[in-house]
Amino acid sequence: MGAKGTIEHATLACHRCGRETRHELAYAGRLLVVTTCLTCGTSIERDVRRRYLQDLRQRMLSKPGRMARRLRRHPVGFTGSLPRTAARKPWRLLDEVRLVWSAAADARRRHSDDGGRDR
Amino acid sequence: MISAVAERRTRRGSAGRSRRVPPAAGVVLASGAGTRVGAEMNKVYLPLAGRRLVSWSLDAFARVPDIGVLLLVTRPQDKDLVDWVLDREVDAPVEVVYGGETRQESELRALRWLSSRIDEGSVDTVLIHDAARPLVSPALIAGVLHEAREHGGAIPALPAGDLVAVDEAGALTGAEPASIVRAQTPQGFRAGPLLEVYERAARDDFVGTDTASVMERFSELPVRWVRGEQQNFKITYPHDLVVAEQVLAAADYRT
Repeated sequence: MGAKGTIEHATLACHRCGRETRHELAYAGRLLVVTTCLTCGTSIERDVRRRYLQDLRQRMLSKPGRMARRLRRHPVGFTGSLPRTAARKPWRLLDEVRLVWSAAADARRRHSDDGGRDR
Repeated sequence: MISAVAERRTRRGSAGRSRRVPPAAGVVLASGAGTRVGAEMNKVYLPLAGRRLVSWSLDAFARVPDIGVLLLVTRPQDKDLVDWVLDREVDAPVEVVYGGETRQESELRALRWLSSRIDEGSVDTVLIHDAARPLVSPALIAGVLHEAREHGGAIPALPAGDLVAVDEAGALTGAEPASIVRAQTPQGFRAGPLLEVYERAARDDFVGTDTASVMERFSELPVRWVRGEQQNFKITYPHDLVVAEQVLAAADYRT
């Protein structure tokens, strides 16, 4: 199974198709990692490894505050969902890491292919 | 007639503020983008730097002290997403109105929702903003509001120095297009004339390209332009999301 991170779909304009098409966007935490036009397959992969690690640290530091805020607003719902969310968290993080490293490899490969053509 | 409305009150209220002038209303349009193409997900609800796109605009408006009423115009099918965004990401009180098939119809519904407050003078100016421009700053919103109150109408825009004039055959004419600017949002107008003009446009079946074009067609109210912001661009291509994310990260996630 390939790394996916958090997947969203939306209609955005595609340079290659020249019109608005359905796109798939893969996120790791706060970072957009891969975008793909589902009509023509054009994709953008980003190498965000360093920024991902910085972002992960910030997210971990702000997590207690965010949890406290949710607990204040929805004590019952939050407490009820906590065991399931906590159990899933390591797997979600692992999935994010795999997505970030796999996109970085694709971005490097694409960059070196483009460089080869330029030379 | 507004098909359905919901009002949400959260922690930060505007009650208790003493004001010399009535508050202005900020209208954030989030109903148009996907409707035209029948899309399954409206791009204004995409994540951007840890929050949904639309919540960046709502937050910017909420940080302008003179904005006393904040409206989100959305699609009925986005209701669950809207509830989630307002609950998790927006602290300010936001009133939710369902939009129409077109941008102009959505604006009209928002204005009708505000009409009693406009008539009684408790809303003096309305600023209409496209939620697909998430990096609008509170300073720009305040600037547009100030100019709209001063002159009647105001739009933010950037000089378009990269345009060239062509003739009908498509050949360059060499003439420089004079005084052309690229319009942005929010576009602000005195509330009374704005409501009147939108009702008239609806009666005459006139459809403009943006708020200012409808005002120009039916009103003599002067519309001034204020200098827009480079970062207040519209999310159109996937790459725009990457740029917006980097702008926000560089600004420590503040607009």
